[in-house]
Amino acid sequence: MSVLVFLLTAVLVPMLVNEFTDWLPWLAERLIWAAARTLPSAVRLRYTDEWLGELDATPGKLSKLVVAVRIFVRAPATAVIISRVLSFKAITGKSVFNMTESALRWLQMLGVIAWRLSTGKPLDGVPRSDATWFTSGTKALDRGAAPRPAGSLIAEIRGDVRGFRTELRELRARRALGREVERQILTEQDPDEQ
Amino acid sequence: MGLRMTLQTLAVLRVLLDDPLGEHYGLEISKAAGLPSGSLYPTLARLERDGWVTSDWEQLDEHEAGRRRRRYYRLTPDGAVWAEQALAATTRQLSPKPIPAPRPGLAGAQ
Repeated sequence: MSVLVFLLTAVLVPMLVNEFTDWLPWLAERLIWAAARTLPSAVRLRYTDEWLGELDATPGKLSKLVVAVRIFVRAPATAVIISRVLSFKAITGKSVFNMTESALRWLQMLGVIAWRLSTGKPLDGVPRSDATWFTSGTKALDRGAAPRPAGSLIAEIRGDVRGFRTELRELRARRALGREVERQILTEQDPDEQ
Repeated sequence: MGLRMTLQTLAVLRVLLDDPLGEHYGLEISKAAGLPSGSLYPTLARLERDGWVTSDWEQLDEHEAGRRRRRYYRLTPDGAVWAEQALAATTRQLSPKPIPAPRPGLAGAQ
């Protein structure tokens, strides 16, 4: 009996402990890979490398497992935050401009619709088809200048409605040209006439 | 700027600002800031998204070096200025306000 106890405590248990501890780094690495699966695919490899690097830098087999378990437990929360960070769109000057433009257009549209619904008339007093009520960029033809043929359904055309982005682009181009003239890179006079 | 300042963010900024020109890897920042990696990496991701911090992988032959490559984080020039301002503002907010001296007229009123 005492021989059996000796064999168990002196040989078998240390062997088992040794075997188990040798498996700990492997288990820790598997936990890191499992934790990384919760992350968005775009950053999965990056954080796997970061975490595995952290694991490598941790001394001791049991400590590695403790670090891995900690990362694994916190992985879902980390994944949620990183997903939010990735999906966040930075507010830039351009996006503010676009949002303001959309809001103004929306308000303008709302005002026009409210006016038309309350008065039952288009703003310019010219009757038009229902199709043009909600279609931006359409306007009625001047009936005096261009009388439509009898029976024709073409009452409106899509007018040359210039958005203020186009205006802004042209203004910028004109200012740029003006600067070039000021810097005497361009000249306002025809060189042949000089 | 527009970044929400949390204690974790400030701790990370403090570490990065201690050596603004140096490169710091995750574990190093984690130890210096006293943050677990679960808090550190989301904080660094936010800072990187908002242009405070930039990061790159270390150019290293992993087999030769015998370790994995590290991702190094460093403050951008703007980020260093913003971090300085943020930490100064927080220090101002946390510092005790001086107690105003009692007005002479009120001293003898009791």
